[in-house]
Amino acid sequence: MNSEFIVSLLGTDRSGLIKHFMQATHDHNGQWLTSKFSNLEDQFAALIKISVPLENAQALQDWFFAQPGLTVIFNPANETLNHRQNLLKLNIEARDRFGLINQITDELLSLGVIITQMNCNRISVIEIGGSLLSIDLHLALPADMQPQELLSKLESQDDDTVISIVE
Amino acid sequence: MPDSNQTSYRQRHKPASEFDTRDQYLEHELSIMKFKRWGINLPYRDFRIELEDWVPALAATIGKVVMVTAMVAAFATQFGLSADFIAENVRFELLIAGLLFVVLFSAILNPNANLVGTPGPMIPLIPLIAAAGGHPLALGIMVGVFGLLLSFSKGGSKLVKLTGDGVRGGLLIYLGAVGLISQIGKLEVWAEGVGKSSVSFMVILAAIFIYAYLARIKMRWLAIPLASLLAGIVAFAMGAPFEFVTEPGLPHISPLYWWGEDSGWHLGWPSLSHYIAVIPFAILAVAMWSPDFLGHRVFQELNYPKHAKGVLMDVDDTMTVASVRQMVGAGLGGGNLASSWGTYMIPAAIAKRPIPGGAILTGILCVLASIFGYPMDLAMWEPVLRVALLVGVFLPLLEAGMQMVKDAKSSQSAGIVIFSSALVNPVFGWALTMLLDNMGMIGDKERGESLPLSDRLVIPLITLLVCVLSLAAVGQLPGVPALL
Repeated sequence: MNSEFIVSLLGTDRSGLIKHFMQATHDHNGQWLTSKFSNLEDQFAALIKISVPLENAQALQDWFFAQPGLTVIFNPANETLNHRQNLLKLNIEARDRFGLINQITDELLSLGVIITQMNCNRISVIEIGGSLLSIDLHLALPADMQPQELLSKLESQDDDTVISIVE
Repeated sequence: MPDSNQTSYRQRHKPASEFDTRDQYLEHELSIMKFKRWGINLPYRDFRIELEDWVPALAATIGKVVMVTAMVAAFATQFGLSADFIAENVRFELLIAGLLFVVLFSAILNPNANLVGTPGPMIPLIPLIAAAGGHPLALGIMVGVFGLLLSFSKGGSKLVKLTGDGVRGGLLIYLGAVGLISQIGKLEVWAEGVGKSSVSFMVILAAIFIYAYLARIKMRWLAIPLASLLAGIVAFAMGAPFEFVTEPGLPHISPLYWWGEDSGWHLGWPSLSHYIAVIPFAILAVAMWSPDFLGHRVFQELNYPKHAKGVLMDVDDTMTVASVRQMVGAGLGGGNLASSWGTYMIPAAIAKRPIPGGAILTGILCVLASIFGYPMDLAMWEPVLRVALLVGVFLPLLEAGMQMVKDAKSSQSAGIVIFSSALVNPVFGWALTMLLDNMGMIGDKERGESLPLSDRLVIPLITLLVCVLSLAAVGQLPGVPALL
């Protein structure tokens, strides 16, 4: 019997790192089902869905935890997005300012909301010589959170944003 | 708050005296209005006209006179037409806008559709359109057709995502910089021509100070009326010649006059080659609609109370009206290009007023300006016209473009747009860079990878091919003889 889980990794990138993780998974007779990687200014973030024999699961997780300079989070796959009831699409519109996207993602994370997709568009408004920000978000809410509750919490953080649910 | 679906606006309206502040009254008004889409909406039954409505109405009318004058003047220069032609055509355009569209569409039939104005970024492209053999009527019809396609397909939001920040930023920077340098050059030439060389320097210096001050107090939307007024006063005080020559009256209204071979534009009716010549420019004009329209709607939403949903601008309806207005205006003989009217929407949003009240006032002011004729002389006076374009269009374009370029990746795309725009023209620059950017060959590689195949390759490639073939057909690719 196999165990499935999603490992989230965050750390400094270096050559051959992904191959290193893949090799360790193979060494534990596991396989990657899906994966996503992102790299920014030598920092990398990874989400990997792994299937591994139940008896090797703990050893593989211990191996990841033992890697230096790496932040590691495990979530059992059966509690992740596909099984969450509250999937939600949001659109956030705001005046473009430094740190806004960070503020929104931090707030969502602190509420236990998972961002599955985020698309940011800057819209120039020539008459004011500036730009506005439109962010499309696909979210997975905790089971006990209602969409309106999330909207109220986000809107209370900033008067200069307009948040709407996309049908 | 009463249910807006079950009670009428008149029942929900409360006099201003019942509120502690004027702001509370205006916000309450915004929250109780709900307009009929494509129905009959009437003043004092469905909305009111307040003192604050004069703010967008005045700003919009001044902006309109200047922008249409700039656009028609750009065409007139290329086609060798006189100042009388410019004044007449602008008056005609003001009648078309005021009588046919501003009041009828944006105040009565659909107050969720913003007024249809003039796209400033297209002004530097007018000489290129004329040089390519473009015809104003063919351009108007093609923009209208593409606009309707975009509106009915509801592809506006897709178009916004299709062009990355760096490409959009680079295009705005190029158009802003080219326009800025060109306007300053024209003002200097005019000043030397009237024997007052120092006027251009003093006028632009005054404009810089007023623009900087308005930017500091965050009232840049007042730049066109205030800086133009200041420019006029400075130039007049320094002895620059000015006189009112346009008499009160009505302009020609027959399309046969405007599109005659020996009258109006002196161009006759457009042929197939005229339509082909304008295709790439019409594509770019409509591609620039989406972020423009969306920006106005979002700015309005951010300035209104959160529950004022019934008065927000509808982007698709505004595109539909703009497309129809474009085709009707050009068909009748006007030289305006259509877009969402920013010099109306921005002050209206700041003044917390919905579209229709100010639209009625704007329509009246446009008609009055057209009949009196004197405003045309003011708007066409070089110091006023050039300064209005500098502070109202090109400087904000440049700033908005620079704000879009946030990092090394977007600056790479912006650089390539500017490079390729200088090589051929901004249409080529935009189409080529959009393809390279979306494919991940330049700029943000991860953005390219996240796009579906249609956005990454198919649409940008087709756009580039259409633009390049059209430009090649009319001889606009350097060193390539015209195919037609």
